[in-house]
Amino acid sequence: MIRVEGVHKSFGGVPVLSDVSFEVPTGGTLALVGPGGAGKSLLLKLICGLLKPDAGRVFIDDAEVSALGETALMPIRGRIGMIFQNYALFDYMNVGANVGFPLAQLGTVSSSEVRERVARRLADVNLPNIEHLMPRELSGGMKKRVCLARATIHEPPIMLCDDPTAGLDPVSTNRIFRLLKRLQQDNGATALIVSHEVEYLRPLCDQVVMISRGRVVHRGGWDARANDEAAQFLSGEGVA
Amino acid sequence: MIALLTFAKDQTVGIARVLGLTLYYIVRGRTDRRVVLEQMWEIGNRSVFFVIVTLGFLGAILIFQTSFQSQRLFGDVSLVGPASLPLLCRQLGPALCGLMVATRVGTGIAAEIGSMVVTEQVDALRMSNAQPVDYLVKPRFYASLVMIPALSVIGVFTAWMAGLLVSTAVYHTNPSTYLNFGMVRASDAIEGLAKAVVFGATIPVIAAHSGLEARGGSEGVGAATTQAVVNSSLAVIALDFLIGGIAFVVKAA
Amino acid sequence: MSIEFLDIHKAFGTNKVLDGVTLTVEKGQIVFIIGKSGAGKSVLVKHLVGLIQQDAGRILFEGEDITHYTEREFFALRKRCAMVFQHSTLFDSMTLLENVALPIRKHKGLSHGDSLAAARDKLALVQMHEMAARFPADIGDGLRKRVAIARALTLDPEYVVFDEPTTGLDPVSAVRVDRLIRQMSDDTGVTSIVVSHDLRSIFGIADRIVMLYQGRIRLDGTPADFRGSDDPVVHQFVNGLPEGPMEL
Repeated sequence: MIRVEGVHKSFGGVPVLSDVSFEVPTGGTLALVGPGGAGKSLLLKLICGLLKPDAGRVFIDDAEVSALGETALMPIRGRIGMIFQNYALFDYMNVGANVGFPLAQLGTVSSSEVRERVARRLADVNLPNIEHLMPRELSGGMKKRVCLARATIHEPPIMLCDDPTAGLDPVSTNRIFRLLKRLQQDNGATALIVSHEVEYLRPLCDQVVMISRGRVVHRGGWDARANDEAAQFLSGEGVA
Repeated sequence: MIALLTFAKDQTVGIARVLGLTLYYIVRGRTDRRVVLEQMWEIGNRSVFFVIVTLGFLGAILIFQTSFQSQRLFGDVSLVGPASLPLLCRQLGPALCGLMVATRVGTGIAAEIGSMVVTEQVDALRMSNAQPVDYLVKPRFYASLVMIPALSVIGVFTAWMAGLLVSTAVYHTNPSTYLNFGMVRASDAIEGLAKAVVFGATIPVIAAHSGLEARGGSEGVGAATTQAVVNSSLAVIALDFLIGGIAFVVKAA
Repeated sequence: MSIEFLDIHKAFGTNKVLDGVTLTVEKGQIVFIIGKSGAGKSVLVKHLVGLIQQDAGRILFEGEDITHYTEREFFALRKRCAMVFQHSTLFDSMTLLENVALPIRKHKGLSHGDSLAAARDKLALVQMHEMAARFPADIGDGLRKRVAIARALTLDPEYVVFDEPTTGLDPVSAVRVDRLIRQMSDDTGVTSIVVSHDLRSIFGIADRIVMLYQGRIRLDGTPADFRGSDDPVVHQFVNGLPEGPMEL
């Protein structure tokens, strides 16, 4: 379960998020949408404790993430799989080391088992036998799939995805969303997905939250007739 | 003015925090030897050519100018070689080396860590429970602690040897007159090494702090790199002054 | 009047990106260059403004061979053929108005005041004149893109090349940018060459579509040609299907 309660955050006096609240039940899937620069990526970072809110609280299950220090966050982060907007693959490590990193970092899994699980996960994302390649040798779509493999290597019960298909062509986009859905269903994971691809999110997510200018303007189902801005956005028509 | 002071205070506090965390992880964390060796190669071997060239020329200039003055004032240059060595060991060698390494190594560390920050690789590390200071700063700290003193020794030697070339070629000094260790005391070498060790500990911490503070896109990395050079050069000069002062007091006592 | 690419070849190391592309862009159209990520779309158009030099082949700009142009000659050409980059490269330290005024002052040698007035007109073209005094960091990606388009228009170019103008934008902003490109083309008669893989833009505003696949042109036609194509690769791409013959 992920719960965000009345979160405020500003940078240099400029408010980016004001009074944002929502909840994703365990096993639920939530789409987080809104215009660029609305604070969606920031919200993901608040949820996994990479940043702290100025006011308000963030919970993952019973733990108040917003009040915990870096060491206390360790066991919680071990349960989160995060896909970053800019790939965030370690550019000095090969694909195998990248994907295995979260497991190797636990220190409890033998290196032969890490290798085995990396091979299996890479096969899952249709990129078998590329452990030896460096991130710079991959295309955008391949990098995203490697990210997906790394984010899910430790079978996390919580998945946070920041624009997992940014800059990809339609075929690759469709593949990523199918993969995401499969990985989420395999683990019964709680998932929060930031994306502009409304038409792909609709079948994947059972709830949608729309943020605009730092505020929640819609929360609930995909039918957003009550609110002009949200209705326009969610229909993807973009009537100005 | 107040803004500048606040900025200086924030920087100092930030650097102190990175230093504290580095020391904490030296005690607590595990260390990957391979990564430290890689960094030693990166920091040491990749800088050695730069240090030899810059310190070589600086040594040549120093000896040439000192000989020139000495010739004019005393009509004799026989003491320039022996008298320059303590100065190089104690003061100019470590300081100039420190400044050169601050630009070569400091920018490298700041740019590398800074670009990892702006591409979210540092966030990805934290999500995998690898702390950036433990994982990125500590190996560079160890490597610098060894390699910067080593580079300083090489730099001092090169500078003095370049001086020998100038001295023999321009002032026709007998090499055996120049290569006289009579005026160097153990305390000179100790003071020089102490400075080099302190620079070796400060430069990576200051540069890493600038890198970790990088914000925005590629322009953030550029700003971080500049900040790293400014901060580490200032630190080298200030610490040089401070350690010099302490050494003077200790010797007097 | 047209731009002709004649049998362009380009490889990066062993990676053949363009393997014989021949294409004529007629004046006044909106031409989309489409294909999967990494298909060489951007590479192709960057040849036109001299940012990339081909390995083999020739490029004719209104009949003139620009294949062996020097950087100085391209400088003059870039006034007639502007480029809007994928990342709106605005200067953070300047207001939106100053950002647009800068190329006017540099290229046309106008006074500060005159250049600002001209810049205001260009911002009005993209409906951004009311935000002229704001800074790039204060506005969203979609609005920044509009300002970048205004800046590209400052020298009244005959051709504008757009590199993925809607990538990374939310759907509403994306549709607005599409409309702006269409409206610009209709109002000023400028020729637009748009690199994109955004299906909504492609079928929204293109006059003509050219699809690159494996370094060659797979299909060149109208949106209707693409919708009705029985080529399995084209069909897979325009429908965004995950299964199909396309190599990824």
